[in-house]
Amino acid sequence: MQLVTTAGLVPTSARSLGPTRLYTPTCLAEALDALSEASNPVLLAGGTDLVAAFNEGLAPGELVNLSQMQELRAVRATPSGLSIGATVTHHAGCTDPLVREHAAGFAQAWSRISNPRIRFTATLGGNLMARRVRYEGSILLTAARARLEFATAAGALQLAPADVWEGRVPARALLVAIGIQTADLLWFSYERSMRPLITLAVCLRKNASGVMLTCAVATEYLRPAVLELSLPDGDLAALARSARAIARDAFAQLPTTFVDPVVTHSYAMAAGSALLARQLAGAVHG
Amino acid sequence: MAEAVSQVSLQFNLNGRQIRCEVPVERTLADLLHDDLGLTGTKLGCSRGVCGACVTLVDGKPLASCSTFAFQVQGSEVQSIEGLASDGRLSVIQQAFVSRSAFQCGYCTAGMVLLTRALLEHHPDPDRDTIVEWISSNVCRCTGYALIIEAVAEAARVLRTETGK
Repeated sequence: MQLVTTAGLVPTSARSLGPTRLYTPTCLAEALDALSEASNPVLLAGGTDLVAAFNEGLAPGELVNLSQMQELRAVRATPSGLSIGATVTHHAGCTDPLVREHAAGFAQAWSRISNPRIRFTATLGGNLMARRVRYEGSILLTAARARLEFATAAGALQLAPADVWEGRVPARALLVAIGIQTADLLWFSYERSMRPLITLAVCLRKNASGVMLTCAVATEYLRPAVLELSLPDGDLAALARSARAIARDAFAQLPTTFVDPVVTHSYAMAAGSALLARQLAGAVHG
Repeated sequence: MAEAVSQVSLQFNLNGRQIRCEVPVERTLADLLHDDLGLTGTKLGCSRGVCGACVTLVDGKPLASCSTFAFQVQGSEVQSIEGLASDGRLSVIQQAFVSRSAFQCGYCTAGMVLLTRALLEHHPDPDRDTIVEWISSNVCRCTGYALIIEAVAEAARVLRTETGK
């Protein structure tokens, strides 16, 4: 029994949380001060999985509560697309008029993250920075080629979602906003299979030579792998007609290392390309 | 410069009553309601925000109180299951759960009822898919959900009739 409890398989009570100190910054400068001053800070955005993380062994010295930082809760139109504040909740983001207008497919995909109870509170930035492979935020943002804007004591920093997984986010950095280019965005879609899970997010963008397909594929245990395919110029109906061939060509790039305890490489190829073909075939319907 | 604190002077409205108390930063809302304020309708299940037995409405939004720190409800309107009945009469949603026998052991019921209240605030006339999507936020290991879905649909019908919507 001791082995099981210490392995984190049996959740300990939230009552086991030790004394913790709280910072509640109201602006970026105060947040960076708090992150610099604290001994072992943990950021609190929506906080829906933070107690679970404590039960799994995360032991913060201090909580830095971001809920009073209005600047992190805004969605703004930028010259190239959208800037989504890091603590915009799933519900607020996927129903935001700007997101719906400039990235309807992304808004639709975002609306499918988590369940209605969690969506009101959990944030896109929190979902990404939790670094949990089962979370969908990283998959969507990888396919969207999002740029992550961090604030650090040394200045601003832009990173890609993959950098979060690669450990390239500096200690005590604060994710401020998520930038998504929408001017060239043609179509965005997201789908998840039954178990064993294969999750796909697909983005089509117009470029000088035609259309670029970016597909982020992940499983319950694997972080997103990126498949890219340059396609000839054509409308969505033409792409939809070639859906099976496009899916096959895209998944031919899937690394042979893309295997987990329940998904073999051949299963990932078969199920993933079937999902991608189905999504692309549906593109013609919007 | 923001100051770090280990205790928070908390003020919020709970079921129509103003509450003022000092809470340690690490105190969860579930523990505050259940242990400190004696509102034992708030059930602790998984302690990680998954099962929904501890759902509480905060400014009308359903939250897992086991995974919400008490300080996070500063200045908010909080509703627990004890706040639904009035003058000894069950609310329409509670009555629908009773009339449809939408529970067995009852451990998830308070969370389901509060989740239903939030659902019907957002979707007064929900179709079955919407009910299923919302109710799937919480876990019930007894009923198989069918009777809960019926109860939600019945509550929606009664409330629409009462409000003329």
